Amino acid sequence: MAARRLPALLLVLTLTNPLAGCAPGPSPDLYQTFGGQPGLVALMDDYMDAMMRNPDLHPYFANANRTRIKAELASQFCALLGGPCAYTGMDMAMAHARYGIGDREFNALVQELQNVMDKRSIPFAAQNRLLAMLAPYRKDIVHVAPPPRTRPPLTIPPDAVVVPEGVPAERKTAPSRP
Amino acid sequence: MGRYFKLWRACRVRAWAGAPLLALALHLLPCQPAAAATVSRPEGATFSGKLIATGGVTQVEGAAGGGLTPWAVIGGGGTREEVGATAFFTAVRTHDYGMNAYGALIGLWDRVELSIAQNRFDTQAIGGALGLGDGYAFTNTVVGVKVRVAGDAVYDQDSWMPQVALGAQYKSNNRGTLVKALGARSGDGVDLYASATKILLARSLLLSGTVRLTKANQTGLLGFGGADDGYHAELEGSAALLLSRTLVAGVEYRMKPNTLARANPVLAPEDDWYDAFVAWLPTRNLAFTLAYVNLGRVVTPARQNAVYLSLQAGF
Repeated sequence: MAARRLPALLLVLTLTNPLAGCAPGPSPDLYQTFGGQPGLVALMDDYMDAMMRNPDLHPYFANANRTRIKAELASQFCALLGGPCAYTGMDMAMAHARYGIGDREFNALVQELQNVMDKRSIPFAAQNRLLAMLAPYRKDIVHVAPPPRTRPPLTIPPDAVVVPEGVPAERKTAPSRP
Repeated sequence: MGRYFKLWRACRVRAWAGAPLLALALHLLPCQPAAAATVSRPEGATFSGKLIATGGVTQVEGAAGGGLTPWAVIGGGGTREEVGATAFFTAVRTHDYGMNAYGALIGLWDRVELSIAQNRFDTQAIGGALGLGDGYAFTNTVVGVKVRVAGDAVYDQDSWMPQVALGAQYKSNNRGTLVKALGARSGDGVDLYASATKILLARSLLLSGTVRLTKANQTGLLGFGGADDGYHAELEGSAALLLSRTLVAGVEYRMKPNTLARANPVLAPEDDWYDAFVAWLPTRNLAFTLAYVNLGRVVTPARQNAVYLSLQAGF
């Protein structure tokens, strides 16, 4: 009978183990795990370099103001992690509206962030706490095909605009400057 | 509007018809309309855009999930704009029996999963003792479909909403006459299931639960139905810890209906299955799973503790 209780015991252990360690959500401890402000600035430098090397992401950043993006990301991450910052940058949906970003590109973005966090030896559990706070932004950033950029062409039927009488039909020559 | 619907439908029909030549078909018939402005994603087909490990491994009946039970995830590496596919081979060895499972699945736009698998159950010396002959084997062929109906297990981190999928598995046993002689009602049957899977990312934890309506005895390896021919609702569940981006460890539980032994008292009762597993997904194309599985009693009164080893490859 003891053998039949084994799975229940394992299940309880699995569930309670991570719960005992850390609470999710922002905290000053989590901010310090990322090395505070210097740590975040260095992380963003590495992150932007990594994204510029990634062929899926390069086109999105090649002509962007990368210095400003890095500074805004650092302040956003600082605020999310529980550091002494408030994010005052652009709304995420607004900032990404004109780009056709799909799941693939967003996942590439996440993986590059994971890579640079690994490189900076940030513990996996702390990485996941940050990623859990960033994950909801996907719906603001990703537009699954067909994206908003492929709007149907604006066409006006020729008889849609009625020209009132008294309006000269067509001006033959441009008015000469006095 | 009608024009866009037709375009969408045409693309959809081509992709379905081209399933065996999917990669080729998608290169020839790109469904994406041409991009108009600014920076945008590639227009041709791409593959394997999913985050590593988020397609799961393959359970014995061929659906993406854990080892014993399906998860609500869609298998393969395809995102909502891509298709993916995986193939798997699983060996389960107990003291008395051996079972090999193998098959393949395709995942379409992170929405639909189509799978086919075979389970070959080798009775080894027990078959001889029962008068069937040493190494007598039952082969169960499973054709599965799964549809994601709501949620996203990975990205819905601001709500409790799990990823939810509905699935069906048609199973056909090649020893229909024998399993009916043993007391089963049929040699083939259909399982229906609903799965809910949630990754609690801030806690590096995956939880998944499945309700399965089934008549299957030992997943169908011993036929379908017995004392009654009705569907039984059975619970299955997984809990797993994400140890790193490539390593997952957890436990699973799968309840079983036990209808055949009630029809035929000579057979030992069918027990619930449970396991403890470690899955290693070193790249986005490969997965290895090692598990210790307790299958309980299978035909004979001896409890069957199994070693489970599975290999999955795909894109």
